[in-house]
Amino acid sequence: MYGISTVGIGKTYGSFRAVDSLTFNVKSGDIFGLIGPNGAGKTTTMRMLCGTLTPTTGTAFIAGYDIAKENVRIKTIIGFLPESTGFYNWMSGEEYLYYFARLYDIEEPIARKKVRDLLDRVGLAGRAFAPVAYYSRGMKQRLALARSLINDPKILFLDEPTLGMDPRGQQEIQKMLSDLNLEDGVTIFLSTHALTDVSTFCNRIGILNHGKLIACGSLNDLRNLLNDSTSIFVRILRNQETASRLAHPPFKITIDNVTEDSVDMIISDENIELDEVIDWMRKQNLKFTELRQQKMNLDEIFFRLTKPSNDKDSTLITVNKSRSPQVGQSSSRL
Amino acid sequence: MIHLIIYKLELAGSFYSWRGAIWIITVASIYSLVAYLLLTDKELSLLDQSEMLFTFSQIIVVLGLLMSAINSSSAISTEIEGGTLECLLLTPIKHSQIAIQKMLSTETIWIILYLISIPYTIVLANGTNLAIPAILYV
Repeated sequence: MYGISTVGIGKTYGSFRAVDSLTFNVKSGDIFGLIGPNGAGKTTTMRMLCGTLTPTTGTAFIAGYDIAKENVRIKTIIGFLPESTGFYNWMSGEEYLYYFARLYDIEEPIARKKVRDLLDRVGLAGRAFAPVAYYSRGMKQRLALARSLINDPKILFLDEPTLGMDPRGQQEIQKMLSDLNLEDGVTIFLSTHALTDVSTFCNRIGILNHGKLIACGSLNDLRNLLNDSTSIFVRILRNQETASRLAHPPFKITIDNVTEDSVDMIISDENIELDEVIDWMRKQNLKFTELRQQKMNLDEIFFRLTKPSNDKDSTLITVNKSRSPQVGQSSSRL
Repeated sequence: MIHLIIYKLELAGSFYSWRGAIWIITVASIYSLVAYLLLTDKELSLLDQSEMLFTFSQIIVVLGLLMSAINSSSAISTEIEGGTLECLLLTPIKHSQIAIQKMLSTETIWIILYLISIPYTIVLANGTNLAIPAILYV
């Protein structure tokens, strides 16, 4: 069963098309990451799915409920953490959560217990009775996250959940979200610019650009979309003969970095095996200190897929060319 | 009645923030000034006592209306500006319920302002039996 299913959902503001006919599915229990440049339509998509914005075209189903017809029921089973949440600054954190618990019609004793548990869970138990006005940016974000969990949501929408948090706080929140997903089976729909988090945390990723979903699938699916073949990273010890030994390699080699003692290179031939590389280095009497297979990361995939249309050569490729000329072109560097 | 929670919050918010407190202090000051002028000013004190009460009642009504109009609009606009409206709209409460509860809290403040005016009306009606009709008129 799908936790989230959209059918041509779109939003236009006058002649501007903020979100253009999105169709995708997120299975129950999945962690789906929606990424894209600023203004791509991520927040608009989330707001439409949460029912705070009415779509211009199409519709969506949250846990099987139509967002156009069963809006109130959907609100009882979802939690949404907007990118910028407002607070009643005169309230304490405890009062703030209790207020929302009561809005979800949670009985008073249960609400009190739930509020205490959540404050403890997000690490705010020690500041529960301090006015929200005195909270730091990260603390407010934790409080907002606790608010989004007050109704024990089945589907959680998070827009930049770790914004303004310190690294330890980010780690704690990721752990908490991971536990929610694994233990309670909560479907998580995440929008963030922290691509490393998305690649490690999400099992499916959607890339939005100019309101259109340009790619959707697992990280490997996205790699396949770009015909990414596995490359091999090798760090060899540098000596006077290194340049001549690397002069006519049997593979496509790119020099990535050169220091006084070592040379980093990337072997990017298709279907190349580690054994072949090791054999070749032995024959050439090249001593390596590091050897590993590497795949295209989400940052590279993102830059390639969202490159401006007038830029024939992507930013990534330009960076690679400047940093990693071919062996034949860079013998002087060695 | 889960919806009364918004009403309670709005009312609490009014008294914890500037809105309710400022209104009460301002209105009490205006009542005091008008009552003082009506009783001590050379020209105004010559008014018939029933006319004096009628003028004062009109001021009570006008101030109440002014407060209601400003408070009702700011009740929604502060939620929008403060970014709290989105969270409120995410809860399973109907939009109409939110508006009604906010309106009720404004009316409650109006009633408080009206209660403040009662001692002034009684003082202005001193010596006559017009105090209760004037209070009921408002």
